[in-house]
Amino acid sequence: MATLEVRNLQTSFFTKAGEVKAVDDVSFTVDRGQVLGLVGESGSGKTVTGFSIMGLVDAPGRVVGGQIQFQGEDLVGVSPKRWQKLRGNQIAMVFQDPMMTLNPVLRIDTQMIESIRAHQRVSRDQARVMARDALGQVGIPSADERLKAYPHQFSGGMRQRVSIAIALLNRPDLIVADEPTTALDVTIQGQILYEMQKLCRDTGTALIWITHDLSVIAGLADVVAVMYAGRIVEFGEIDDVLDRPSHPYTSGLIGSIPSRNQRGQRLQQIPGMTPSLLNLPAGCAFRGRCAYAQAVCAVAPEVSGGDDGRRRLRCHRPLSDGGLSQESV
Amino acid sequence: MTVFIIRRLMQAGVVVLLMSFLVFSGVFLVGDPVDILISDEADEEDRERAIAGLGLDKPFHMQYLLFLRGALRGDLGESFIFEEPALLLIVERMPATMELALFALLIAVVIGIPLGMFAGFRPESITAKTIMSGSILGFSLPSFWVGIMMMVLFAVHLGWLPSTGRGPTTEWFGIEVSFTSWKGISYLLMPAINLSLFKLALVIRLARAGTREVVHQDYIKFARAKGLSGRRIVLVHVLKNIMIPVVTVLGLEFGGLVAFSIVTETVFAWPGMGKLLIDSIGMLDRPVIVAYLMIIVFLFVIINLVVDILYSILDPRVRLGEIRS
Amino acid sequence: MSSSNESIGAVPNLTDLGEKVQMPLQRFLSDYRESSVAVVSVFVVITIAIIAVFAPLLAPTDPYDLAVVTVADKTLAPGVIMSSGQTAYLGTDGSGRDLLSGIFYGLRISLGVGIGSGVIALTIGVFVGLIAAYFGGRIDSLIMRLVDIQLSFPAILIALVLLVTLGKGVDKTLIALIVVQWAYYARTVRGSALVERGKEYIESAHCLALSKRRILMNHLFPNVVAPIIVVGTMQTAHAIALEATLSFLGLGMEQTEPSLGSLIANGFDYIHSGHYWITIFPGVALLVTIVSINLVGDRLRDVLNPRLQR
Repeated sequence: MATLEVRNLQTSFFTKAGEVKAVDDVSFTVDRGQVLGLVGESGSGKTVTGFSIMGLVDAPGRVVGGQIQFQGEDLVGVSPKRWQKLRGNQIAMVFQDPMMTLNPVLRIDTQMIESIRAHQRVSRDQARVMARDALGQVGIPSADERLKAYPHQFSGGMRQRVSIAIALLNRPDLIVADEPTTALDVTIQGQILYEMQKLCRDTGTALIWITHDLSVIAGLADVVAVMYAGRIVEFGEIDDVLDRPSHPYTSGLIGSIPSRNQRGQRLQQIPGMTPSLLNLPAGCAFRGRCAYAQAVCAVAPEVSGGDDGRRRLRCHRPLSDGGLSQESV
Repeated sequence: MTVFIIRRLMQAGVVVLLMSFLVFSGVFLVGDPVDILISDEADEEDRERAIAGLGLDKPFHMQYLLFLRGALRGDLGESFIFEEPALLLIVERMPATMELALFALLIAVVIGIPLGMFAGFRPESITAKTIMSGSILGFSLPSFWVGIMMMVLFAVHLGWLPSTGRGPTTEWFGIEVSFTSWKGISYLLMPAINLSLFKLALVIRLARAGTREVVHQDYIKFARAKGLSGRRIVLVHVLKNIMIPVVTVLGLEFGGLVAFSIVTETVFAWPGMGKLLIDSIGMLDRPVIVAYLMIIVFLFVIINLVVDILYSILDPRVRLGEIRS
Repeated sequence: MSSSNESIGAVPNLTDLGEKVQMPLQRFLSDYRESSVAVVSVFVVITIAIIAVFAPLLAPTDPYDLAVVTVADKTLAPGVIMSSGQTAYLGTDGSGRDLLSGIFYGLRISLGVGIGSGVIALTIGVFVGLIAAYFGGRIDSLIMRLVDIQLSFPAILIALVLLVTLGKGVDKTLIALIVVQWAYYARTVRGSALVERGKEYIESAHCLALSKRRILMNHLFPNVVAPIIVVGTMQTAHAIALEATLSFLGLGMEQTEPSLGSLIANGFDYIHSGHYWITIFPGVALLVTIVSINLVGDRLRDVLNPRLQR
């Protein structure tokens, strides 16, 4: 059984200007020990997807449709008490900005121990030992001393390790990591990626890695979901998608990664900007920026692809046959 | 931490010295010191003797040094009316004022923080709007007016509480206090509430603004993502953050409370330093007035010192920054 | 949204035309009218101001005409007819003066001292604040150190010290209130002016080689008007309250020129004997004055604050 199965998830924000469909008909599965990369530009709905899975979508937003099957239990509409039990315990989250996620006025040990004792019946001393071990696990030296420190005494990379350690404390089955390395130096980023991957492999934790940077997840993820304007436009195994992107948007994303081999060549770019979610054009949302758009794209494309979940696509004009039977145009 | 406190103590000393100079030269410049320090009723012979005795024939800097020497020994002159050292008179009445001010502070914090936090969590609710309108009134109404109205209502009309004076006192670590008996509290209640109203409004505003800012921070969302109970998030994560501005401002405002107790003590005939000051002004007892000013300056400096230290305990970022610099 | 921000928060460009200047005022009025409480408050303030200005014409009697006032009328209840044949609608005070007339005259003094001290303090504060902001450096830090030291002590304490040294009276109270208030204005003006000074239009005014005086008055000053209006309204209410407090303590007005505070203080002696009206009615007058001015100020702050504009 998959650890997490999201089906037709819809999350909307009800603003004065109207309903904003931040997440629209999103489906994917993550298996035990698997890493899913959720890729998209800012405003594509990837973070809201993450918060939906955590039950942390705040007013004026809410999940309006679909299912979030976590180990067989549909989390949409469960009681706040149930959410409280799940969060930090079976589902944990790592946030984007390490400078903002730790409470500046509480010591690290306080913030770790409270997280353990919210879910496990252990003494303060036992919890402290567990916290110290968790810090060691994410590569923080002299963990005993560091426990007594305040967040501002840590560097950004160290703080992110601390929040990862907090996420790991209760041995969750699923971790949602929302761009956890974006704010960090490249070298630190590499270390953390490596450690996260190792931890998931070792413990069987499923991981959803949200990022705007395809190159980050190229070596990390098993499967990738590319989001655009609140929808998943392409889904498949990472190597498969990177080698043979079918959706013009995915191809554009890959093309805009600078690399050594392309030195001297002009970097590709996707023209235009992400459309406002308030008034999406009818039909395919990417139509206005797509070089391959045709009249048929004025009709919203349906999801095509296998029910086995190996490769799925939402496009009328795919670039290559990504293992799918091509839709009639 | 010790380095920090020593540094602060030295700064405080410099400020007191500076302010003593200002008060002294103020007295020296504004009026004839003879008029201020010697009773109007004294005859010519007495005046000359007093002038020589006080060293007023000496140059300014010598006089200042003499004044400082007296002040260091705790000698701030003698009251014309009571014929006792002015400092002693004030110190005798200090416990009553401090009791009043501390209770007012307590009321402001204990009532103000929950109200302000509520208004911060649910800013659009009718309760929140009522609380905020109330705080506008707390800010704008003159406190003597509210005091009179309270007295008319609760003491004169309803007869629930005694209208003036202080209840029976008992000795507590060598200090006379009145809050140890119900009767004492019944006397203390109205003046303390009256004195607290302005600070209460202030605390409500600070707590509300702090809460509104903090609830949108990532670390609150992260705390929720950790599966913490709402209780713990509110009582630990939010409260500890908003306590920093509240404690700072309240601490700084404690001097204001003592100063404003002049008004409350006059309305409720509370036998504290403030009432002594107004009585002394009425009776032209100038040494007491000068002594009161010196003490209040000293008090303000002490308060600033304590607030700085408390602040550094609450907000670890400040403490470290100070030691490094 | 952004265009309206500029037009209210600043009057930056030289290309501003007549029609554009008209816009902010209309916008301001329509924004202000959205709060009915604030609109009512404006009318209350205007009414109070009219009463204060025309007190001698509107008051039923002259409470300070010793030929009319008689101790025989003392502490009459509201509605009782005085020996002069006139009705004391709000009763009489301990000296037999008609309370309604007393309140009218008291408003005159309270409002006069409050607004008068406000205007003078504002003028001094604006001048000093602009100088501090414009010249910066040592002048700025000297002025602001002075402002900080003064503001670290409660206003009532400073006013008290001054009145103890100077003595009672309208003129002395006025001086005390000016000394207390100027620092607030100086700080507000300096703060707003510093923000403006960093902006490009001041830079360009420098490039045009305009004189310092001209930049100060024609360019910096108009931009600090909005915060001054807000602070000024609130400060006036504070000044009136402070004057009332000082008079209540017996330090402000002489008994021959009683303000609302003095009237309340007089009545305070009678609250235990059941003559509640002597202190209540002037108290209500003071309350209405202060609260309505504050409500107007509160609304002005919301409307004039560019940050809050939708």
